[in-house]
Amino acid sequence: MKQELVIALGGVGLALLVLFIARKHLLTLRYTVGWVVLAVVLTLSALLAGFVEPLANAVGMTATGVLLALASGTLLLICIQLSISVSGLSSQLRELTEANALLAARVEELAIDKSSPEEFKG
Amino acid sequence: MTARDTLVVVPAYNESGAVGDVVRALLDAGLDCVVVDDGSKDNTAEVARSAGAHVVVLPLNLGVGGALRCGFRYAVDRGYTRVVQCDADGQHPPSEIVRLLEVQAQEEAHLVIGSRFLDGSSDYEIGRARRLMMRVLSGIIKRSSGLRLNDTTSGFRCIAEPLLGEFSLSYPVHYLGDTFEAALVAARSGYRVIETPIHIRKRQAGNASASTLAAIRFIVRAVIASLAGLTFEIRSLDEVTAE
Repeated sequence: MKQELVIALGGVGLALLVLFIARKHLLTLRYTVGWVVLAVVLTLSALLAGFVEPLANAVGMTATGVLLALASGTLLLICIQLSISVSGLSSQLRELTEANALLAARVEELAIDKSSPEEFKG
Repeated sequence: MTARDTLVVVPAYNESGAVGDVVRALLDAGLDCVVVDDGSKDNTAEVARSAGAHVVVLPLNLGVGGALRCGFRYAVDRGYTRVVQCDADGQHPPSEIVRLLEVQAQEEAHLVIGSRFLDGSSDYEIGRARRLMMRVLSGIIKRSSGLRLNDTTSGFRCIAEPLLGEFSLSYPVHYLGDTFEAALVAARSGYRVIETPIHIRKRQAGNASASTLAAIRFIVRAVIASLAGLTFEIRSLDEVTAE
């Protein structure tokens, strides 16, 4: 029973922490929703903790071990998803940086052309 | 092809001590050049501009590959059909650039790599660890594309259309991506890649961008990427010429 209580409190605590960070505008809505859903799942899983025992017996692990494995697996998936997001953002940032630099160079060339019309006429 | 079809792309990061002389030497040799300031913290851009170069200033440091791709895009946008990568530290003399261009025209190659070791007379020295790693990289290129290269990490190269257009769309930013990986991908995609001996000078100013330890780390990463098929992708020569 104590274990279920700790899991439920952990879920509630995670939800409160995420909402606090989101209200400080440090987290976008997209990630806030994801983490809140995870916190709800964590809280509800406390109710299902009793059903872990048969699963643990079937795979030769303790119930705690199974819960830890599930938690680790979930965090691993989140890390991979975030790595994909960061890789995409890096690529977009690079594209934007190059485009900005080329545009600035073009504007500079046009400004020089405009300030020397004779040269512009060729 | 003439020198008017050619743009020398000079990626520069904190090279204010040498880039001015490099630009003046290129212009004196009748070569068009653009300096891509890769987010320098010093006045590299101002020095290059004062020396007469076109300058593109990246607001962030993207690495050599990022600066080069930006330079390739600059070249393609303005109708150049060949570019030469040239270091901003004064190691690549204009006379060698002209020779590189001549070889490219004679051989009708898409990528000409200036090799520091090919004729055996170069006084360019590298450490044992780095030499070993370069042999490993050469072996990988030979195994996966059939191309025999001595100097897999040379940053002194000439790139001609249609490969130039492909590189302007897709080019890796990481260390060795612009040298080893680019040569590997070009050869695998059916482009004509050749190597020619060149002589380079010692750095005129500034420091090398990567330490030996970092170089080894990047080389290991490049080996894993090439063996696991994680290299960047360009369209093959057949696909490009079919259009």
